[in-house]
Formats: sequence, structure tokens, C-alpha cells
Amino acid sequence: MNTQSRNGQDWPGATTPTRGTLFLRTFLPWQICRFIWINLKMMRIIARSHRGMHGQGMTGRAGAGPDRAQAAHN
Amino acid sequence: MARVVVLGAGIAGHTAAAFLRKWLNRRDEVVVISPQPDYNWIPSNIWVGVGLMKKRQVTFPLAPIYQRHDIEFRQARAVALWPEGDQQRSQAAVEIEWTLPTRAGERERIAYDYLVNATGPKLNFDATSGLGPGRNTLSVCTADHAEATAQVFDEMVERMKRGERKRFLAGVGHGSCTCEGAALEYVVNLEFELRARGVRDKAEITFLTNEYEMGDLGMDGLYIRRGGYITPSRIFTESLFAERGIRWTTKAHVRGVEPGVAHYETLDRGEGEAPFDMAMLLPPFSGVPMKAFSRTGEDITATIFAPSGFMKVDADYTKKPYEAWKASDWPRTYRSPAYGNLFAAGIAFAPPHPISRLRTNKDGVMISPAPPRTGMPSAMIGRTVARNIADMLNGRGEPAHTASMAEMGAACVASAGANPFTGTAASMTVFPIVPDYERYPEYGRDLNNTFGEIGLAGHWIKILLHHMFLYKARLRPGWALIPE
Ligand SMILES: Cc1cc2nc3c(=O)[nH]c(=O)nc-3n(C[C@H](O)[C@H](O)[C@H](O)COP(=O)(O)OP(=O)(O)OC[C@H]3O[C@@H](n4cnc5c(N)ncnc54)[C@H](O)[C@@H]3O)c2cc1C
Repeated sequence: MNTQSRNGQDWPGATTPTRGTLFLRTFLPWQICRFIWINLKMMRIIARSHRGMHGQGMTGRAGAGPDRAQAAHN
Repeated sequence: MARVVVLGAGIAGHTAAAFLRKWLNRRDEVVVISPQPDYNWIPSNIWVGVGLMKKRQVTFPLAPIYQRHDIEFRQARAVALWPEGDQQRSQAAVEIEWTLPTRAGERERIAYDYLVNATGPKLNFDATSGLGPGRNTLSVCTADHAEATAQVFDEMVERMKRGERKRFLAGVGHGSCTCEGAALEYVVNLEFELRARGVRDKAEITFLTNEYEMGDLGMDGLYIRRGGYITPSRIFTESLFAERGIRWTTKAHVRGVEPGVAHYETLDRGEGEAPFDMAMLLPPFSGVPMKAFSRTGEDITATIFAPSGFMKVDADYTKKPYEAWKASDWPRTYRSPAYGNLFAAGIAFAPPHPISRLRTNKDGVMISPAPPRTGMPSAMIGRTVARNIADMLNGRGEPAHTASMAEMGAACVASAGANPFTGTAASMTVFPIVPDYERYPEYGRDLNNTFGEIGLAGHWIKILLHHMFLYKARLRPGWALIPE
């Protein structure tokens, strides 16, 4: 790794992580907690996105209706 | 009995076909047309491209799975649509050309009641001279491309072990590219692997992108609450690169690639050159070329497809300035306005406009990312289209289910190094994908549901997703319970 990056000489203006942040990124007990938290957060997004997909109720699965051909050719 | 034909067996098409089979009557036919014999979990191609996985770990043959689930598979490419039928018959049909070696080149027309176009992107390497496999750069867009890239990477590492210095270039190969996230993932994985193999000190790595600033990702960037501030994604992305010693050039349009050097122009600084020993540059995408004909044989391609080759759906395609772009411009049901039994899913639909602001340089060259359509929305669109077709076959006149990218979020994990103890990945969620400034006037997105962080946990999630989505794609027991 290029150590110059740490003091910003090569990348002026870039924020770089502190030692503590770097440590926590791979510190197992902390990452296990984050694993659970991130999964919950992602599930929430997925659930919210799926909720948005549903229209005004679903039709039950019945046999072929008479409108089939019409639906297919409108 | 009805026949639903799905073009493409990628994330969108395979999802649509699987749900159609689940929701349609047994008497109804589901037919999948795709030119490749295998399914490819494309997100993991990144790991194939640095030699951490083999092609067989990210692909599997489709035919046995479709056979087991009563889905008809034809290894062929769609070449033309006849949405009104032809002179011989009145039913809509798709013309295909077989790619199965025993029938290669044979043409056939398959009638359909409903058709889902999920053909994904055409990898448009031709847009930039010298770009692409077989020319001067590498790619990870397909599993084969990624394996070839890994081979070159291995050779580079061997030479570095012998003391040579090498220059690596990664990014996007045209001003109108999308998928900057994938390019970013590749370059940080490459850097991680060079460190793991003990040759990082012999490498100079540069990232070349068409984004206006780092972290734009074709989504106009995003804002995250962190440390008491609302911080733009640029800060985190630049930090990721600075920390790893990767240089970057933004606002770049690659004009051409010669052996060992990429020539580019930028929005503000004129021209530049990026020399390299190994370059992985993603191509711009266009729609998979397909023609369309009326019953009398008149060419109606422009009625169904946009000039980019993507299929026009229920979006507002009126040309408007950036300030007038609205969330409601984005399609909701992905149905063709011209033919009610024609749908598009995944990358195949034509977006109404980009998400990032359009920018051109002084010579009029457009340098701004096209909108990304990642795995989660592609699969959700595939599922929604399947639901609507099933409902319409049941007598519902109009599609009732929607999957607008301006109403759904996305969860995304970008690997930043693969190792169960020292690896990391950036986990991100955004809601909604397309900013909605009417609902969220300040930042366009819901900040409670837009977040990102880097850590080992993200890498574990990425591995979990790899196995979970391949399990789902293999249609193993309980597959439908796994969310998109
Ligand atoms: C390197 C890389 C990494 C990525 N990483 C991520 C990630 O980490 N997370 C994420 O969410 N997304 C990621 N993406 C994006 C993701 O892969 C796409 O969103 C997704 O594949 C789109 O699905 P699709 O079905 O529209 O297209 P595809 O998956 O490309 O599928 C298209 C299908 O159509 C078939 N086809 C092509 N031409 C024809 C024809 N003429 N007739 C019939 N069939 C045809 C193809 O063979 C294929 O089966 C990545 C993309 C790349 C390139």
C-alpha cells in the first residue's frame, strides 16, 4: 500500500480512515453485530420494495378465461 | 393453452420464466430462448477476473433445470419480432436463429401469446476503437471474459514476482458507459489480490471513469448520514481509493485504445493518455439488436425499439432538461405501448433518461454515465412482468403490479477484497433507486433507507448472496421464498 496516501500528499482532499475505523472493519465481534444489523437493514429495503410491487390484489389462479386471446392481441 | 416466450435467461429472464412456470397453468407453455447454454451469476465474475473463482463456480447449464421444471428451452438468439403475425398466420411470433451447435444457423418462427424481452445488454465494444477482448483491453462482463482476464492477471503477478513493475488500468471504456460500480469492484479486488500475493509495491493502479465525480455510480451519487453529517458518496469512494493507493481520473471518455495506452478526453481538461500493461475497461451497453416487422413485412423496428436498441415501454420518453426529470417518467409495468402482449424486463427496457445529469465537453462529446440497472431491480421487474402476464391470462385486462425504479430501493454489496477474515465489502442500500425530488425534496432519497458502510460483514453478505442466488437460480426447493 502506498503510505503517502495516508497523509494526503498523493490524494489531497481525500478523507482517509483512522486506525480505529480500520481496526473495526475486520474486528470479528463488531463485524458479527454489523452483519446482523446490515442484513436487517437490507431486508427492510427489500420488503419495502416488494410492497410497492403489488397492485390492487391478485387474481386467483383459475382456468383459462375467455379474454385470453383478446388480452394477447390488444 | 397459452404460450409465453421469454427472450434471455439472465437475471431478469430466468426470474420471469421461473415465476411464470409457478403461476401459469400446467397446460400453458413457458418457452425460454437464449443463445448461451449456461446461466451466469454475473456479479461474481469479478472474483473470476482476479482468479479467486473458476467459471464453473459462477455458471451452470440451463437445459437440465428447465427440463425438470417443464420449461421449454431453445438455445437460440431472437432476431426479429412479428408482433402482428405474418402473411401465413395471424398470431404474433418471434423469429429465432439457433446457436445450439447441432442446429446452428437454422431459423424458426415461434408463435406467442405473450412475450418478455429480457435480452440484457449488447456489449458494445465497437463503440471505442481497440476496446475489448481480442483487441487491447480485457473485460469481466461474461464468465469467459473474466477467465481470460484472470489468466493475464496471473501472468502479470508472475512477472512482478520476478521484479518487474506493472501498470494496471481499470474502469469504463466510453463516455456513455454504465456499470461503474462493477468497474470499481474489480479495481479494488485487483488491488487486494496484489497485496495478498505480495506484489503490491510493484504495481501502479489507475481507475478511469466517465463519472463527474467518484461515487456517482450513474445514480447522480447518493447521500448518507454518517458521523453527524450528511455526506456525499464521493467522500467514501475517494477514501476507499486513497486508502488503497489507487489513482483515479474522472469525467473521462475513452476515444481509443492502442496496445499499452488508452487515449481519452475529459469534460474539462482536454486530452490525456493512460499507459498500461493490463487494462480491464467495461464497454458501453446498447440494446441487443432485433428487428420488428408488421404483418405485411413493413419494418416497424422504430415503433418498438428506441434508437439505442432498448425496448420502449410505458415510460415518458419526452425530451426534457435535467431539472424537469421526474420519478414518474420511469416505467411501472414495462409493457410496450404499441403491443399489449409485449413486455421488457431488466436491462432490455429503454430508460426514459439518465439519472445522472447529462454533460458534454466543448466538442459536444457526451461524458456522463447511463443509468444502472442492477441485479435486484432486474429480477424484481422480471417477477412483476410474470405476475402481470399470469393475471392477464386469467382475465385481468390491464397489468396491476408495478416495479418502478423510482418506487423501489436496491441493496447492493460491492466486494473490496475477498477473504473470510481480512476481506471487506461496501454494503449499500438506496431508496429509491431513481431520486424522487417531489417526495424527498432535499436529497431525492429517503436518508433513513439510504446507507453504506465498509467492513468484513459486507464480504460475508456478498458470499452469502453468491450462494443464495445461485441456489435460487437452480430452482432448488424453496427457491421462490428467496427474495430478489
Ligand atoms: C461485471 C459485472 C458485475 C456486476 N455486479 C453486480 C452486482 O454486484 N450487483 C448487482 O446487483 N448487479 C451487478 N451487475 C449488474 C447485473 O449483472 C445486471 O443488472 C443483470 O445481469 C441484468 O440482468 P438482465 O437479465 O437484464 O441481463 P443479463 O443478465 O445480461 O441477461 C441477458 C440474457 O439475454 C440473453 N440474450 C442475449 N441476446 C439474446 C438474443 N438475441 N435472444 C435471446 N436471448 C439473448 C443472454 O445470453 C442472457 O442470458 C454487474 C454487471 C457486470 C457486467
